[in-house]
Amino acid sequence: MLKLEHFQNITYTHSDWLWLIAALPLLGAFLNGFLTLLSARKVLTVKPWVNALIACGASIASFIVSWEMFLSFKKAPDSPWVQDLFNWVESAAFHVNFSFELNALSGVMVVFITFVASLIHLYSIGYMKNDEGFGRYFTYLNLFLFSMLVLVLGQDLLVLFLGWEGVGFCSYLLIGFWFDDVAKAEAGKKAIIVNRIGDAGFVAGLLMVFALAGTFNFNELLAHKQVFTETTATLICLFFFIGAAGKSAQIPLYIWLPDAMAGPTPVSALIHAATMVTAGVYLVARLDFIYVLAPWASTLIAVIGVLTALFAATIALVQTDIKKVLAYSTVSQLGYMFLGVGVTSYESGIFHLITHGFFKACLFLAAGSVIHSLRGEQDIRKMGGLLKHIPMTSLGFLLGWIAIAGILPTCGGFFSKDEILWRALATPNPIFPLLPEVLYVIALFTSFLTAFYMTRLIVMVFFGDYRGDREVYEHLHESPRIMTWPVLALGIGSMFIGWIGVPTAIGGADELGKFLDPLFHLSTLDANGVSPKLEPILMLLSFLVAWAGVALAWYAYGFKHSVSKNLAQTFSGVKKVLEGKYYVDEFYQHTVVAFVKAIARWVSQWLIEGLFVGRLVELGVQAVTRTAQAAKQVQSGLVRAYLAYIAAGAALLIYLFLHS
Amino acid sequence: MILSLLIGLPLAGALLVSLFPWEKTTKALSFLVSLVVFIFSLGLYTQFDLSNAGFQFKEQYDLVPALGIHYAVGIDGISLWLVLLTTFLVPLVLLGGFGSFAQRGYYASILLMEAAVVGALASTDLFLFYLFWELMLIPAFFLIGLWGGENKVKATIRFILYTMFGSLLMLVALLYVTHEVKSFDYVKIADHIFADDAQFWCFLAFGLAFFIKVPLFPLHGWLPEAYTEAPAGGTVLLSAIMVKLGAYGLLRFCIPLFPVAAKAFAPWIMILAVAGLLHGALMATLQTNFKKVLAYSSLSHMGLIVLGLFTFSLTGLQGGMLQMISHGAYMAGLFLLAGMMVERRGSYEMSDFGGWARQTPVLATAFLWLMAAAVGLPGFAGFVGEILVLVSAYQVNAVLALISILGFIFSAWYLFNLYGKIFLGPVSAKKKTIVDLNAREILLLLPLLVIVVFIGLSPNFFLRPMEKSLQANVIEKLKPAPAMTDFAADQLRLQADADKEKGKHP
Repeated sequence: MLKLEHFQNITYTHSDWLWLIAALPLLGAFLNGFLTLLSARKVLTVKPWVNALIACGASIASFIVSWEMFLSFKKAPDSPWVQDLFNWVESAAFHVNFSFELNALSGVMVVFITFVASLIHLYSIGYMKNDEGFGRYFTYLNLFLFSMLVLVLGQDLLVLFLGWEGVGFCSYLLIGFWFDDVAKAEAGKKAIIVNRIGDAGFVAGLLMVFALAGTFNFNELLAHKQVFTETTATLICLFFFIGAAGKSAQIPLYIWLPDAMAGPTPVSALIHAATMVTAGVYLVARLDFIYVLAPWASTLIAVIGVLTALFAATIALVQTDIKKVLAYSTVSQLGYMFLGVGVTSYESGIFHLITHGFFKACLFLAAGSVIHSLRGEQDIRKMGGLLKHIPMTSLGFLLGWIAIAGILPTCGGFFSKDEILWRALATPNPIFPLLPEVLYVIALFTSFLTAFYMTRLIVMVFFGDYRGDREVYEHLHESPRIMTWPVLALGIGSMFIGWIGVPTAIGGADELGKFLDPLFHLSTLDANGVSPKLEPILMLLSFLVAWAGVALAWYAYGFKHSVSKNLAQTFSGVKKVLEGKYYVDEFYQHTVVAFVKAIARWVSQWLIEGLFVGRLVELGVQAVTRTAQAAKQVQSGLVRAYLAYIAAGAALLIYLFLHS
Repeated sequence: MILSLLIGLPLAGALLVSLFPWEKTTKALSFLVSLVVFIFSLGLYTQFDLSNAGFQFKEQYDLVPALGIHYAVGIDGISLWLVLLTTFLVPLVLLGGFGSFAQRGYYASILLMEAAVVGALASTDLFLFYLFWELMLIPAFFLIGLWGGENKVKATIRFILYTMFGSLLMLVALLYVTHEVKSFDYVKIADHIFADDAQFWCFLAFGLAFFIKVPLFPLHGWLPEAYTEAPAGGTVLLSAIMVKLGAYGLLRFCIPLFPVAAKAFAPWIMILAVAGLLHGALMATLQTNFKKVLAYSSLSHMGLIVLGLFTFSLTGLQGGMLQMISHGAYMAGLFLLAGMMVERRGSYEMSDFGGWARQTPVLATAFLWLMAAAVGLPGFAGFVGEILVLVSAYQVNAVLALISILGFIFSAWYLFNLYGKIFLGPVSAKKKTIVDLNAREILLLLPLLVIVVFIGLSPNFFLRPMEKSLQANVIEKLKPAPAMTDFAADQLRLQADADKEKGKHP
């Protein structure tokens, strides 16, 4: 024992090994990438288990290191661990160190990310078995993990941006993983371009921050926060929010996420549900000290968050692709998180980020297992009654459903969602006094919709009679244990994860909140004239609303199918709009994209390139050719002209020097 | 001696290659020469004195004593990296041509180009500089005109006319300047302060030559066709090296020799730079020919470099210089890859491609890698230069900087579109199987793949040696000279006094 403690003293009390958390997945990516290229060139054959071992080993090792560090960090959470790795850029006043910081927030994030990622890595072994791109897949997955860890560990906005762009790039590679299919390749392209629009906002924010504060380092920014006035802080916050909206799929930049479902399902679970898409929430929470200075920006975030939550939930009501339902659900849940950070309750946003990460990863992995069992079928109209055929997967999915619908207090997202609802109501808005109430009502209604569409999903997939192809039915089988166990682990995890933040209002300890609280810089929250005693009552209300959603959906889709049909007929117009996803993609196509293309075609190509540059040159060329022809009528103009120039130049030179 | 070797060896190599009786050894001989040159050039870095802002490795011999023309060479922190970039890229370019070209003229032209570029960069005598500057045109003329694509004649005429036009005006200004100072020595000329109106005309005359070379929007008319029609190696020499001489010229001559004019023109030049950045990006999104996409993206990125140089701040200048090196590295890689692709497919039309990632995984990986640098992915070469330029541009003109961020979106748009069209999608059954990169091609790409990451992660390696020279040879010259006694200076002083008074009694 003594020896072990000694060992811990030299390794963990110093932060010298912080780099290892990110470096392990990077190493895994390099090894796998190299092996994959070598085997593609048939230099050597790499057995799939080697790729799997490297990738999963790297991820799990990274989790172990993070966990160990987190535990010893937790003993003294007031002093963040900082590791300066190297001097990255230095040019006059522009100085950026490549450094990592483990504080309460990044510590929680790192443990959460590596844990979920490790389970998903393991699951992928089963899911991607027999795929010819096995090695390539794990290379990208590890590379993604590396970028994500750099994103959360970076002590500097520029280092964070390295991770930020890295995850976007890996997301591109993984969405278009099966790139033989043009639609999938296009989905990847769409994701990276929409993300880039957000990133442009991020860069604009970077420029403004540097112009004002002369640094990108979070701690130095915090120390110099007096340089931000309300106006500049608002602009900065809005710029960064454009970035956050791109990465975290908020209105108006959410359109890439549903298409991103083209990627392998474990990728959807890891990148497009649990980790990357929450980076925007993390960014806002990390920059909380600027956001609290900008009430307008924060209000806008809260409004966009709640609207995104509602908007995406309504689309999820009519989706028929199992992954698309979950994708819109993710967009909706991310909206909740932004509502939380928008009302400056950063702990609740992060809390929901973590619980959502667990149950949504669980749901996606279970959905992947369903798809795997049905040989690639994703249409829920061709499913049904799967409960008895794939019990383990079903169990996992049902656990996820309990967690997301919020129908069982203490489980999954119940507390975290409620915390956000409560904060939305209890935080006074300095600009619009009535806004908290509006936010609360919309968010509550969204939680009804959430329960409704999730119940519709499980009823259509797991209950009732099987409606799909006979042939598929005969081969129906449970997925291998390497897949079902991670699903169950996440499912059970999501049952208990809510315990880390049981609200104090009902006698809980709110461990996460208290742990993160010193980091966030809004000291007190004035109650919005709402008594704290109301919190338990509101909790009961949202509990009932969730059950109402479940009951209605079950009634409509489980018991009386005529109801759902009648509903669809009565509201056929609404249904069509919802199925068309409010035609937002089409709208962008005909406005933004068409506009840019028109500018490119008419201004750049026609006016500038064709008329101005082209014509002018033609005239110039003609003039020179004519002069040359006029001067002498021998041979082609070019060489002669060249010689003439040289001669003339020389003559001029000599003349000038003789007369000087 | 080392600089003369770097100029003389490729020159001798070019002669040797064109005269050597055994044509079969052409390739090996030229490659060997360029490799030796590269190894010698490393000496520049190892022996470079970081504390010295002025010219180093100086040599001087009389050339035309009657006219005071010298063979005088020397490099400082500004030219150091461009010389090294050139000597680094030329062996790779030569190696890249092995698959397509057997004629000795091709290899001799490239070596001649190397000699001319290094000569122009190292000259500290203005006459010598002009000589090498014009010498660059001859190999470029042959490379495009003889080994180019279908429209090579048209492209060559355009290219030559444009650059000749600029060079002629520069010659006139150069004669005026040397006449005024009574010397061809750069250092003497740089210390001379020209009258304001002379600065105005000289800036324009020198500037036109360099702006055409860079090219600054809207003087880029020669670029798309020249880049597209030139053989891969020629395009690399043009885009990665020759256009950088335009930017170098601005930094070496236009800005420090005519600082008053430079400051007066700076806002307009910055606007044109951003216009070019956007115009290039928009044009790139429209192209169906992927070499044209790369050509226009190169134009777009050059806009960023000029933007950085005309911020006149150390960060902006370093950012611009770093971007020159980065752009040289990744554009060279992308154009070399373009050459390898056309050798395999015989076309630059994106519609003739598709699904190549399946058939040529190594080529696709290399392309994606270099593309990551081109779109400015942090950790790769493009990003650091970009952010340094943007940060300093923002401090000069926030709106311009914010507009130029749009280029960040467009670069992803056209490059990922290009990647998708060429490498993703199904493999068409009609197309014959495409073979992946061979050992020679991998070998020549590898240094580029390494360097783009090295620049991205360790930019200080490049920024530090240029810092002193940029400070002393560019920024110091921009400060108002104490000897200035004209009306404007008096006004400035009065203004400053008034400000001081205001400060005392608020």
